[in-house]
Amino acid sequence: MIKIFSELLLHPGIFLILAYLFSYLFQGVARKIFIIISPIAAIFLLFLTVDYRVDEFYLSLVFLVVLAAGCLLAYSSKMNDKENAQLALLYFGAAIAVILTANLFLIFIFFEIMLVAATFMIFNGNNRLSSTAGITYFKFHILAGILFLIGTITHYTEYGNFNITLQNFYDFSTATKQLMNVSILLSLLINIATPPCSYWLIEGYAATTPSGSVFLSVATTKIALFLITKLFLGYHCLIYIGIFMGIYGILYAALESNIRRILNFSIITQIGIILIAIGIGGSDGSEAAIFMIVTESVYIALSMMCAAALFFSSKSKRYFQMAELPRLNIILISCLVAFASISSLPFTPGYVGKYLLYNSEYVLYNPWLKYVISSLTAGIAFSVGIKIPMFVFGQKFHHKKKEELQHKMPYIRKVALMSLVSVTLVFGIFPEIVLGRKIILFDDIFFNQISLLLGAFAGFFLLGKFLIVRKKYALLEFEWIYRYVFMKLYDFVRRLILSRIDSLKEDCINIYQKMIDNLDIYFGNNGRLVSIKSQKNITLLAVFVLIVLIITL
Amino acid sequence: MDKKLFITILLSSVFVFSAFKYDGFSYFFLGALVSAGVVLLSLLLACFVKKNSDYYDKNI
Repeated sequence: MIKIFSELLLHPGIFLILAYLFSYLFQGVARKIFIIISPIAAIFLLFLTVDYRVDEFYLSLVFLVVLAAGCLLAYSSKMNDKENAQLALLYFGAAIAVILTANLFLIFIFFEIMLVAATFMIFNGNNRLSSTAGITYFKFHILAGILFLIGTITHYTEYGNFNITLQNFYDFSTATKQLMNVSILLSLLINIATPPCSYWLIEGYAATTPSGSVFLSVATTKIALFLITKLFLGYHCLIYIGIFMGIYGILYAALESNIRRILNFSIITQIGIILIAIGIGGSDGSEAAIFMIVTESVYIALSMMCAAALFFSSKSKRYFQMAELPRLNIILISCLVAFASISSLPFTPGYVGKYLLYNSEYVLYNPWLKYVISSLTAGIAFSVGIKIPMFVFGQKFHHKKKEELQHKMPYIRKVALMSLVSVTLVFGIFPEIVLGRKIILFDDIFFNQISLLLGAFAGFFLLGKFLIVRKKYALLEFEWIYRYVFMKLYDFVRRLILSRIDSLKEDCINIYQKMIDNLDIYFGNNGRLVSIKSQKNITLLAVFVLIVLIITL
Repeated sequence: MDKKLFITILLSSVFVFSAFKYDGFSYFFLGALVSAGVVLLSLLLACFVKKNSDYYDKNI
């Protein structure tokens, strides 16, 4: 018993969840120090308890590094981010617990803990959209949770346990097995924000506080992607879903003006490319997918942190309201690293991921996929990777004057930014840390990638002016279709009921009368149930059944 | 030398080198073509834009 208890305490995920609970015991500076130290302590626990050669270790490590950096960012701001830093302990604790477990039911429970923490993080945004965005997030994830639970229960009925066994997820021989696979896959697809269920990500991440979006952007989708890689590797349908997601993200990012929303759309495109890697399957696809999941967590967090830093320095969310920033600023350097990674420039982790994809066996046999991946790379570079740095740091687009700005950046925020910049560069220049093998980065793919990005840059130089937005507007998404269709349906049903109200009343009275008749048959004075002679025996039987149930459960 | 000129010469020399040695030209044009496609499609998508910025605040 003591052994199990100590093992639980040494588990980095459970440790963080407990740290969240204990953080309420402290006040003021003590709480601040406790929250910043907790992820660092969890990193030590991770090294102690988990085998450092497995993929789970790297993903957990990246999460913890981002958590530590995010906490620093939260405490460097003057906003209501302290509560989010506290909630992030719970969120990341549950996330790491999901990664390190192989039990479907525990995964479900930790997913739900993540859902609660994330919803409150979005509510803490305290802006006009945060309440609605939080509710949307909650609705979609409850739907995903129910689907996952259905899958978990069918797995139990079919195999008699909750343990993840890989061959179970490739078996479509019976209807129950099909239901299990489809419901779990659908649940995970909602969790990775596959359109038409992507609205929760776009609004949710943009409605929370700046450091809240750093926390949220890292864990939710990456964990679902990690599970898809584990369970559904090599499902070729995922390639086509990935291509659709890629195109969707690029087009919406091109038109958007809110920096955080642009980054959210870029997350969808990146997820699409990772889905392509998962769909390719085999050892090549798995390696590329895991590498991209691990490294993308860092550079997306870095880009979100840059957006947060830009927001703190300019007090505006849209690029056309950004102020002129000083040259060779730390924000500029981190932005360049983050957006170079998103654009897959060589020597960044984004490029290594694409390199692994290009060299995978499936892509070599299907050259069309190579051009699709290249096109998605060029598209994301055009609509996010080149667009944001050019529009934010370009001279023409500034509205605020230099004097209006507060250039003083807290020391703690610089540490947070630089820690993620260094981790991103290390992953880009020395990918063998995660891959466990050396790869030759200088070959034809290197030069082709530079040519591709130069082409995208030339395209931006000529056509970028068409994308400049100087007004606030709302882009319609799939969510609009839901709302429109459901409102029409609701109106239709309402009108139908109103027009047939009299006949419906008669129907209801008839049904009610039938129910009373049936009740009389069973529970009336001479009903079937009452006529059983010894009622005492029935009570005893009920008590006996209850006792047996309690003992067995 | 002007910095911008130096960077332009460096980038174009890399491009020309890769274009001759590998298949660089086709990738360059693919990049430019994709950019044009993105602009065209996103302008089509812009037909479904609500000019009111408070649209979601009012309607959700």
